[in-house]
Amino acid sequence: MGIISNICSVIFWNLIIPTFIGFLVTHFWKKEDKDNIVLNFAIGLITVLGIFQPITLSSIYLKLSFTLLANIMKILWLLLSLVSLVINWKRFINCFRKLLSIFKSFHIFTALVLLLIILQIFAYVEYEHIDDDDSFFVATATTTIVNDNLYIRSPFSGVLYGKLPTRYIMSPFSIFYAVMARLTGIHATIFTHLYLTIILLIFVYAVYYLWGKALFDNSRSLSIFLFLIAMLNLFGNYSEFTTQSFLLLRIWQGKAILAAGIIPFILYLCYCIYKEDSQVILWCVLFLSTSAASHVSSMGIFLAPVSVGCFAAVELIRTRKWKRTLAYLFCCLPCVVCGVIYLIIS
Amino acid sequence: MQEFISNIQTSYESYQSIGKIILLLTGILGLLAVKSTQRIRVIVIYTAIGSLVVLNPFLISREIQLLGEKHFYRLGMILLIPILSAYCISVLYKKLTDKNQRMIAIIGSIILVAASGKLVYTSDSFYRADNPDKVYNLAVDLADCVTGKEQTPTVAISEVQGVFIRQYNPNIRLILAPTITENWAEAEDENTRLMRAMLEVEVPDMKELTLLADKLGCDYLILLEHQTKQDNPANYGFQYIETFEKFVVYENNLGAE
Repeated sequence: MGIISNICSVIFWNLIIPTFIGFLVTHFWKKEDKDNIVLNFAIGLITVLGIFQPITLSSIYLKLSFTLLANIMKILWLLLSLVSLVINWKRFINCFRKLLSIFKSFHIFTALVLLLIILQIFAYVEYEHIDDDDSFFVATATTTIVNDNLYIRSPFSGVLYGKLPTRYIMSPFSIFYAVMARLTGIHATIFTHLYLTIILLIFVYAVYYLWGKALFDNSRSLSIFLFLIAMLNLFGNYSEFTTQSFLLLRIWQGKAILAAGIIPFILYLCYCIYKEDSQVILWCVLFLSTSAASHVSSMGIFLAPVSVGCFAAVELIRTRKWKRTLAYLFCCLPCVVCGVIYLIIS
Repeated sequence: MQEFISNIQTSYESYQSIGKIILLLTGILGLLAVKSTQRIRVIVIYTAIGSLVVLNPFLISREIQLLGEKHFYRLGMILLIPILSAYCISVLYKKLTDKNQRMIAIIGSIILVAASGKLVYTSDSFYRADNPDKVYNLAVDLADCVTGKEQTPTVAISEVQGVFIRQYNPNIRLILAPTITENWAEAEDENTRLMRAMLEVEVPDMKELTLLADKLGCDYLILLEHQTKQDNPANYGFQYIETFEKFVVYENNLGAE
């Protein structure tokens, strides 16, 4: 496949489909600027990962073939996108009009932010950071595709597993690499190291943008906020284990996107819930977010509930509403279930 | 004078690693000093509670036990330091009304961020991609070499380079994977354990190694150059193919004889 068709298929499956699914979710959200494309993309990608997790775990347990799983996800994501297109077509037109009006409030800091993001994307395209962890995670994706099964053969050698890698089987993000590679028709390693990095980088900055919109009332302050974050990320390599290092060196890895994108997004949702006084859809998205967190990394199984729990404690201190605390804890159920299953199988 | 400059350099380097923490603490203090809003209070309280969880001396040992000493640092992910730091600086910047003061503030912030941190894009961890897969070129060369005749060969290689081969071409089966890799859960029998032991010695018994490799169905044997100095598989029915950096590739011709 040529590079143009690769790019088109990546854009379709990793940008357009999640955005459509995001519009479907925000259809039920009573919010003034819910037609914001960034908001819908972020929510959509989280939803894609969130619904992928239970289906993948079930497939692993039932020993389904990889092809069957990929087809199930393809049909499901396309179906959701189609439903979204039918019920949200007016919103898409509205969204497109809003996109054009963005140029009216263009600011020098906006230009600098875009420049820094493009620089970071360029770095991922032209340069590489080789990480030993990929010998497991990326090779699991390639092994899955070649053998058409899920966690049956070791990615290191191709021989059968003597025992399941229990720590990582509950967070099968490698299967997401494989499914997307299958859908886009790109080699899994190339997809993961090149295209997925760009998608996830866009997602992370989308989350920062949403935080900025929540914290600031005007676009100038928002631009400055994003510019400062981009600078902090660029100069965040005082340890190879910082969120910033993860973001700019190995964003395709589960722990990196968890730290840089998913945990901040979970807390953004908690903040929205706190501000907007409970819309059911927000709780649903929070539930899906913790599922997404448990999918990308085994650390997410632990960290997502800790983050939500800390925020629930904040709200309890400020509002004294016990029922909302219980609701926060209920949203951590995907992580709790994964944690319990892990304890049983390990 | 030299000692003085060296001391300044050492102090600066140690500051770099804690600079962000100072930035964050200064920011939070600054936030507390300005007029408090509900928004700020929520964020500050969350950070305080999160820090209590992460840095609580009573919980730290339990956290290390649960997560492992190597992964304990990941708890810091919940603190959202980049977002918080940027927010603090932005809020303080917003308070300034004079254009010149704003210019000084933003330039000062950039200098502070750059000076207190370390650029991510350094040659230690980031280099120009050799191939679209972004794996070691050596792994690509070895993989292409062993798939010249057969698409799904079996290869014996003990060095860690072996595990990068399957990112590039998962059709290649390795007799065994290095035990230094994490998440190791391979099914191994007596013969593969024996093969592993043989491949790890400085000077393997080539006769035994080649016999075992043939018994295990190896199509290719990849050894380190220094292992083949005294004796080599070519003397026992294997054919020398090529050398890539310090790796020497031999093809199994025992079946052909």
